[in-house]
Amino acid sequence: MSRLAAHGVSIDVPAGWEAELSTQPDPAVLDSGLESSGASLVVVHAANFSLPAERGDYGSGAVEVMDRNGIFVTLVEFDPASATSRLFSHQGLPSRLAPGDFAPDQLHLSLPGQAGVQVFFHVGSRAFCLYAVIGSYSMRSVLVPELNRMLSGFSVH
Amino acid sequence: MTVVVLLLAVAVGVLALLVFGLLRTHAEILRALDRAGISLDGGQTVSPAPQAGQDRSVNGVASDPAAARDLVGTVPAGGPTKIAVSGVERFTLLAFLSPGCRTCKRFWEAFAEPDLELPGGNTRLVIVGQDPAHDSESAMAELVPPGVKAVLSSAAWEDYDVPGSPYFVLVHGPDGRVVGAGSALRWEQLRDLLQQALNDAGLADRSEGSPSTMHVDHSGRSPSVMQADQSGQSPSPTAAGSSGRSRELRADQALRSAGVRPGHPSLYRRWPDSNGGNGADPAGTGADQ
Repeated sequence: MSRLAAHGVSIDVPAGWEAELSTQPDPAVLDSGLESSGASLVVVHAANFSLPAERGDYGSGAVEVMDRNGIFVTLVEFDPASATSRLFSHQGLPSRLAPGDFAPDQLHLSLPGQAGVQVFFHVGSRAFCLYAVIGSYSMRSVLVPELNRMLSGFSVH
Repeated sequence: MTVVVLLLAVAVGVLALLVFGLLRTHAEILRALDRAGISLDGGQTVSPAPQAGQDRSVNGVASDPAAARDLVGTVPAGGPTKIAVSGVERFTLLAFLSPGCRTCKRFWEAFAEPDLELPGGNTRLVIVGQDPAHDSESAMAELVPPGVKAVLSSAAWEDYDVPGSPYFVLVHGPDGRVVGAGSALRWEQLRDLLQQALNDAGLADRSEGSPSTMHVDHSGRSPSVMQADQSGQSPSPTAAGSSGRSRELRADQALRSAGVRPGHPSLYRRWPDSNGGNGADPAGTGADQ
């Protein structure tokens, strides 16, 4: 078990899993019309397969190479101003997902056989989206418990 | 007067011979250093390859076949990361490189080739630099080719007992053991050495040069030591293939962890075959077909 931690987020990464914790570029750098948030918005990727070097925030680049046994999870932080909005009203990081939460039509990138789930929540004044993809919808009762074990190692301060 | 001139001529001749001898000795020393992988240009060094047959435990890395360790560090110009190299279904080639090492330049260039073929079939390349306290993080970030995984981890350098850069370690993921480790001066040389290490370990592809089924040897032999000046071919692989076996073990492990053991009722339950398929999708969505 290895622990990664930065910007108030930590993850215990079990054997066989990979993870990377990074920060999103400041929107003001990408678009001069936007105001700088001043906060380091976090993106966490974790997977039980080899994460490619180049990936989108929601796993594009990774989910395409995932096999039926694959699990990919991302934690994407939103602007703190969103934390009080209704979308992020759920309190606390979900540590347990149910196989029934997953559906093929919840994928950002629709790929045959895969299923996903998206949960919006806030921790204190921070707003997050947890997005998870499993490689096989029909194996969700096997894969989701494995994902939950990984999620139990996530913490946000 | 004539005698003096003759003496001077003889003296000059003797001195010329001495200078010639010194230059020749110097050249021989330089060639020997180059063969040993030591470059005097800019004071940068290349680690010499370990000697064949040397026990890795002598160098500080255990000869235990399960010596491979996962990598924990930071992405160049990024955040913390963990990269799994053991318990995965593929080979991982760890390339320990430094931005200031002249010999490494050849490998930075080679690894930037989009059609680079790594020995072992489904082999993943991971470039490992030292912590930002040792190496320039920005220089590393600039040098890492797009699409190539990289991590800064001095701990990994210690774990794999890396004597200097460039240095390479080939890890067999399914049983988490180091297949070969050592240094080379050029990519072509390294590729041959890696292939030889795979052959020695009985892990080579049956059809070389193509990403094909891996043939795994569970003999638990100690890792080969890759030697830069070694030549000759090793015997062809003889071990039986087991990529399917490792996948089966992984599936068994996942099922056990989910509480599904041999004889579990769910293994014998029949689902209606709504789409004329294999009936594997209990929700009838057909999403997995």
